[in-house]
Amino acid sequence: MVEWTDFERATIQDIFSKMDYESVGHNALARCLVVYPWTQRYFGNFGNLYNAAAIMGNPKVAAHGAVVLHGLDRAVKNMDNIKATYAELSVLHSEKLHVDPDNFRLLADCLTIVVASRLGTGFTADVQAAFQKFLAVVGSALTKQYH
Amino acid sequence: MVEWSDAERSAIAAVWGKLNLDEVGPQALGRVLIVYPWTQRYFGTFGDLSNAAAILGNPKVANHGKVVLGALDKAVKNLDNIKGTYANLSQLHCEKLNVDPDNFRLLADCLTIVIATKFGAAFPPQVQATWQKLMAVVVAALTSRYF
Repeated sequence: MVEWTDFERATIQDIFSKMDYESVGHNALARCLVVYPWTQRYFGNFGNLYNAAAIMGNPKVAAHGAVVLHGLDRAVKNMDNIKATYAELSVLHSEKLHVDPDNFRLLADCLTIVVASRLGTGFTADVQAAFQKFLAVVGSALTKQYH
Repeated sequence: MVEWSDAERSAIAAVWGKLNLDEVGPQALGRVLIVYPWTQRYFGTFGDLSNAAAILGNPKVANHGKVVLGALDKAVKNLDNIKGTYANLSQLHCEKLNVDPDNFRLLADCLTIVIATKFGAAFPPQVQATWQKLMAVVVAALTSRYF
């Protein structure tokens, strides 16, 4: 089971309590689609993803970014049992959506960059370590039901 | 050979021009040692790396961070021949320093995060994509003499 220090718990709660889910979710997903263009293959029905401006302005990207961020809430509220919390979502991503699990890491990286850019100097090395550990645990839980 | 568009060249020059290498180098290296603690194995002679405060206050870490960022300057000034520019450094890291090349990506990631904390909204998705492309080319060049 994953062990969390008090600092790590407090840091995760703090980051998410102050987060603008709509804006951060939109930004993180859009960055994923721009920086790692192959990820666009999962969003064939989202309309215009032709260039960075189109992706940033695409309302379906914005809406789905918010959905994904709100999905992270479950992990934030159940840090001691993230694996079980995401069992169904893992099955969904594997069997229905056929998402290559490498992409969880890419989205996590983009989310880290968005949070870093919002928090500025408040995103210290310790905070970065806690946040990346959290996202790694989430990614691992989402990959759990794949095999 | 790697192709760089005019927009990419200006984006890289713009980012690089705003960076204080003496500040950003130490921060990026410090984060690597904190967030990915196994990397400390390469710095056995650096003294106290026992916690985040010690790492961030360690003068050898700071100096070495400046050395690394200084070397990155060579890539920025030789975008059309990064591989040739880093041939000797690649051999050094492989044969003398025995650095696992995965670690180049970790440092590149931490540097990207430091830039995001400093630039905030001035690090939009297109600029992030260009910057990560540069990081990927640098990492590939440093790995090129390994095999």
